[in-house]
Amino acid sequence: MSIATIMQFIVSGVTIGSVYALVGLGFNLIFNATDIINFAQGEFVMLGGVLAAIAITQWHWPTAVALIAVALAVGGLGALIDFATISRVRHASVMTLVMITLGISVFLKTGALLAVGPNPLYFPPFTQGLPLRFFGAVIQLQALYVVVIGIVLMCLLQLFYARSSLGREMLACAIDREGAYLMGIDVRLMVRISFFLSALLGAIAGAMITPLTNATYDEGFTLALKGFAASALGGFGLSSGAIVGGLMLGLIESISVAFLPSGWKDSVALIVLIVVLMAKPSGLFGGRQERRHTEVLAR
Amino acid sequence: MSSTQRALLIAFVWLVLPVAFNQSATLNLLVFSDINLIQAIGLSLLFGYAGQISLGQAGFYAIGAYVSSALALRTGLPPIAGMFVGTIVAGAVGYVIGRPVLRLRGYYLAMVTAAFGLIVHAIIVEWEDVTGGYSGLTGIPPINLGVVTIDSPLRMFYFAGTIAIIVFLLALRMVRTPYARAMQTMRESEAAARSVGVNISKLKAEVFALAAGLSGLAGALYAHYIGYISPDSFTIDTSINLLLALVIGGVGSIWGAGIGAVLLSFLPEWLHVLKSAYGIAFGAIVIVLLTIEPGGLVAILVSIQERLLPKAALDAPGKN
Repeated sequence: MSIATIMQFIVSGVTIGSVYALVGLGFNLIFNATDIINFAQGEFVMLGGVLAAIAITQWHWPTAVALIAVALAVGGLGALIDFATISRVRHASVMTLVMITLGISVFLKTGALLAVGPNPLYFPPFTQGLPLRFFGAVIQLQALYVVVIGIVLMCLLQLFYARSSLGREMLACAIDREGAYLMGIDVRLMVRISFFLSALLGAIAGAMITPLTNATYDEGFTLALKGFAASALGGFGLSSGAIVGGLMLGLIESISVAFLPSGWKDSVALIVLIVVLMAKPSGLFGGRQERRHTEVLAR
Repeated sequence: MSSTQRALLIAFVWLVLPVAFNQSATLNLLVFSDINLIQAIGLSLLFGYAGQISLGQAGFYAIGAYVSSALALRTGLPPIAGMFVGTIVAGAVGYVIGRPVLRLRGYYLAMVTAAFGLIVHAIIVEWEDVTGGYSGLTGIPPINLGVVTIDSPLRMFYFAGTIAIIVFLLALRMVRTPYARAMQTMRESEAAARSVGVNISKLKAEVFALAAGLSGLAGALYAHYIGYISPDSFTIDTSINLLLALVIGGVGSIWGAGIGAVLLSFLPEWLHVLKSAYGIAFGAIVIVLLTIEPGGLVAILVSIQERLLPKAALDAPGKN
């Protein structure tokens, strides 16, 4: 295997891995605020891609405007989901919550099918231009956008947690919800904001990747499983875990294409998910905190 | 009226339904109700009674369908024997993967079973020599019972209906045994079940294998009825819709599985304007219903019955 081939695997692995990392971060955001795993997480990614494609190709919005509008709209939908359903069944059993978020997933997916049909949607890359070359590997400009915007978003999220008072209040909720409530933090508001941010991250990830992979109404569930795998791989509830896990999963997936027919690509990621959950549910970097998460998750 | 009497009465009404609905469209949906009932009962035992979620039932449904069909097409094995083999293989796969996987609970179990279903889907797409890949298998022979061939919707209705009713009656009986009480104890608290001597991992794997086998049986019936199978019939949506239909009908009661199976079969037809997007109704109903009443339609029916007929409450179907 030449250097160029290896570089190419790394490039495509890091690109798709950034998307998984963002989906994983979305899972973490909602989980940290509510102890709920949102099975509709992948639908936010799908909606991001589908809505951006419609806005850009059919309504002819400028790309930047479309991206911002779609991110905010899907973020708003996330907050609406919390308002309309999740906030009303906060104390329901895990199984009821699984079923409700699955119901939301099916509702959004079939809603998208009704609205835009079954065909893959596409819009052109953010900017036109020749691909870059790096040690013989071809890097699409769009892939560069995915990685750079992904890194910027992750840094912004860390800054938000570390510096802003709102972010610190959310972090306090994640660490100890009851304690945060007793300190006068509006926990319900924090949950709503978590849903907003989680859906927003997913939508941006979905929109960014669409020029490279297309967007179809039924891509959400598999993306959700992979984002969850990313999160579990790195250690659930841990931001850095989702990022490292996402990149690892992306790399494993892109390298698997060298050895297996491409039809098995999704299965490789799913097998990683199964192996991680069976062998080390607290993730590769999971410490005491993540084991607590694991106990909550496996109730 | 005891629960068994009620079941026999409904079984009788069910079996004379074709007299009223002999148009082939409705009859066809009644056949699907039979088939779906078989796997809904399995999932009801697994999810409702033992408390173990599965988002991978389409995987076992596919194993039953493909094993039985491939045997009939490639080795000439009689479909009735193939059906048996398909059921056993699905159940055995369920036991083998259930043993390790069911150590996981809640969200993790949901994720892993969903992953299993998607992997089975990938296998039937990729293993073209045996499964025909995307184009699937055609010309699957109908079931032959020696004197009669099950080659019309009416015959299939009675054949699958008989199996479904037997499974239904056995399940109604099963849920009153100590075995089912062990399942329910395990659902409420694994520690409590273990402390009274229940072998948790064995029990879980057995119930998982039972649900898997029933899904396999349903898959084999489906394949020999339709005569054609492709990966499209065994997607993650198949698993999710079955689970959502069961939850709408009501978990924790075998009767809920009945309501769910009929709903799963008829809803696409009632909502035929939506074409393949009928799932939007499942999603919407589940969201609204579970926000109001996590027990599903059965729980609502029972509470109505209790309000109207206070004395009948003791014998309510949901209390089985």
